[in-house]
Amino acid sequence: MGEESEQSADGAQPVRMSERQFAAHVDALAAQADSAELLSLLDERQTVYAERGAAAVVRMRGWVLRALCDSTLPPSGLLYVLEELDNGRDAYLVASAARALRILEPSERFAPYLLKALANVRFHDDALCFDRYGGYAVEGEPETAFREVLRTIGWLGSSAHSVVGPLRELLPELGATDAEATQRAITAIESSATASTAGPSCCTGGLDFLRELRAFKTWAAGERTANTALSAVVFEDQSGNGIRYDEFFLGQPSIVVFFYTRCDNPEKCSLAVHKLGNVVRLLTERGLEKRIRTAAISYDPGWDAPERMSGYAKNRRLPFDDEHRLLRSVKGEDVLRAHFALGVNFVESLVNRHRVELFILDARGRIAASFERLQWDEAHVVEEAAALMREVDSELPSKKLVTSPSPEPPRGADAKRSLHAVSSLGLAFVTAFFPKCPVCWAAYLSWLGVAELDSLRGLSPWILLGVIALLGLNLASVWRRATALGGLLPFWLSAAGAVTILVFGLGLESSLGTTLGLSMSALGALASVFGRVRFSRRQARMAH
Amino acid sequence: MSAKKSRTKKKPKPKPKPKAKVKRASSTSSYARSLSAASDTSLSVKARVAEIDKLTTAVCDDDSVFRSTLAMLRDTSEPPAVRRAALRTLQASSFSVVAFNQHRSSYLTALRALTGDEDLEIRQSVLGMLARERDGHAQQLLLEGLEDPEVALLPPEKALQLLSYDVHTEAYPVARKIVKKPPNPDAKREALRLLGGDTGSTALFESILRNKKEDPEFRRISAAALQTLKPAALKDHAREIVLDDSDDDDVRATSLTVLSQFGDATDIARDEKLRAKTNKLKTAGTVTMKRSAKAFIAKYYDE
Repeated sequence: MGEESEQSADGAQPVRMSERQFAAHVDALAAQADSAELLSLLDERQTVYAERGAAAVVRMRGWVLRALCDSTLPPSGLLYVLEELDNGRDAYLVASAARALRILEPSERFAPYLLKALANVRFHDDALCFDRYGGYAVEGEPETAFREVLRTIGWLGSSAHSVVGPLRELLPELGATDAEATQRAITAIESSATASTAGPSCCTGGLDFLRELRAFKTWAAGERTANTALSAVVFEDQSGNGIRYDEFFLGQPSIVVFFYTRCDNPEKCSLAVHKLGNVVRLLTERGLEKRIRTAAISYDPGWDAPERMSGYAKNRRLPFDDEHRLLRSVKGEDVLRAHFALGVNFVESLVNRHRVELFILDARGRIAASFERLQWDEAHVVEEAAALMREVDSELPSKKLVTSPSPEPPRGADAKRSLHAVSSLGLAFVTAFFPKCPVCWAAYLSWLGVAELDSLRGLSPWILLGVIALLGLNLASVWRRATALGGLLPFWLSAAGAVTILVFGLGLESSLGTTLGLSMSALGALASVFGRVRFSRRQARMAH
Repeated sequence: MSAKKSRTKKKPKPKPKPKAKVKRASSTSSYARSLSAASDTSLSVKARVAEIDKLTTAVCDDDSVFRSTLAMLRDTSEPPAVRRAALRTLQASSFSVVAFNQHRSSYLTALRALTGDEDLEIRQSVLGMLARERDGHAQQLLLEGLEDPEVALLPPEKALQLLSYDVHTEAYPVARKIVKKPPNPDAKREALRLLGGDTGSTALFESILRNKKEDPEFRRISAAALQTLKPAALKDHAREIVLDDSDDDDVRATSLTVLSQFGDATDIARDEKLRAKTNKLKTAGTVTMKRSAKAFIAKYYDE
């Protein structure tokens, strides 16, 4: 955004835009119907919000939302509007968001968010005047966020059918004016011409809706960005222990939320930390608490000292141990913020505005999924992280990234892996001891036995030694045959294959190495077979 | 009459009639009486104030009582004592959050309209109530007043105190200016207290704490701030201050208290220099110093 700034009196440095200038700029954009630019101003990372108090940011954002009401709301703007209804506690912003929603087409998907907004502002309402910058009513009969939200509910008509029940329950608790407004909304819904055929939607957005809004994003393995600069990030946890980014986040999937203890919106940080506790409990129920880590990282590392973080966690039932921690950065804060593209801004060291955000990292510490702005569901988050864990189980990492000891295998998975490995080896042995020619014996061992070497990782080293011995036996067999047939090519191929498998496949855990070694071993076995065939034919020709 | 005959059986007291409905009706009528009396300009100010003070519950229950009380507050022709009583009653009513909720928006509108009131006590009360609500309008006015004393609605120390209710205001820069160039000692004190939440001010607090020429009260405030912002550094400073015989006794006593409350027991037990000094201090210096030294020794050295 091009900042119009005044020069300071001595002409040295441009001073920052005043709120008056900002309001004029927004008015100009509204006059031009420049919705895209207006929408960009709702990103909390905009430099125009830096070094402003939280109340100033509210005034500025409210004026932008007001301007959007006179314009069009692009589809991407819906997320910002729903964000205020879902999590907002500033009456001015909630009311402005409710007004902005009315420039779209009614949808029953909006109803749960509006109901939530009613609960959020009910005892934190304000006296509003939408024509006045900042929204502060100083005279006359003020508007309120509660009534503005009710107006929007009424506007939804039959699409708000699902909230009629909760509104009726609310009526006896309300004062006269609010009760009248609520009754008007109920009447508008019930008298709406089109009857809703869809079932009641009690809760805010399912995963598909979040994805549609871009509140939930995922990245396939090939799309995820690695960032080597993160290795410089150092944290201190809730117990005062130092730990590097790589040490904590590499080797297994992780779930990360951001928070700060001085957040005064209970729908944001306080709730996020509490829900992360629920996530840890869900992971424990599924036996995944050692395989998926969680972290709550502070936006405010200068203030959120270890004892402050641990107290905050205890008060919100977030358990912590070596796998589940609260962290503050002591080095590399800028790298961290840039990597996660955190939705936060500051007045000096203090947060002045931030969004709800949760990230799911893969075993290499790369962002694989994110939930932004809207409330996330604990079960969805656990499911996404568990899917990444299955990704870890199936892929062979290209380089050794784990600096900490390998995590314990999950309960039940040990037996399953052992059975798989033993059955594969067993198949190789059965095939080998079938009444077949020694050639087939050698070929099968090369393929089946060696191919299952990967599944032996983590099992007893004696089994591994046994397989290596068998490999050696295979090589001896191929050598004997090759020397008998007068051609050592099969032996050299098999030997090269065995060395490649042992060094690159098992040693350096390279999937490419294992594949190459297997191929060479197979070629060696096949060459041995065909070499035998050619020898037999030569013998036959010589006999004739 | 003989003594026996005089001992007649007393009639049993009649059961009291249920008073609920009667009480409600009488409450409503008593509120109406109080409201009428409060609005009666022929009565003395004292009598009117007494009637207004009775309306706290009625304000929540009855919209007309709320409106009348609000009108009394906003009427600048009313005596200040009557207006202040109306404000007190409204504020007390607002603590019944659920019952008062229906009046909240009108109440806030009225408070904002009164931020520029002629009466300082009303102005201060109104801005205080709004500041506690973290009202952006009030915060804006207070900050403007600190930047430009010509438009200040309250003395700077009061404005700073009210701004400290919300850490998210952009008050730190102006607070630092006031610490550097205070209009009065109270303003500097409040500015230091406000900066107690600023992680960027640790160097300032360390400098004040170690400056023997600084007012002891400011040094104590700095110690309190460092306990929150940089506790490890505070313990080091506290130790050095205790060991320095040329330093202020009260500040040394505060430092001993810091070490008593937050010191590391193992480090202190091994600190022979500190032990020797505190042994001397328990018999020398001010009463406060001696008391602090004795408590310190009893805690760490078991003497």
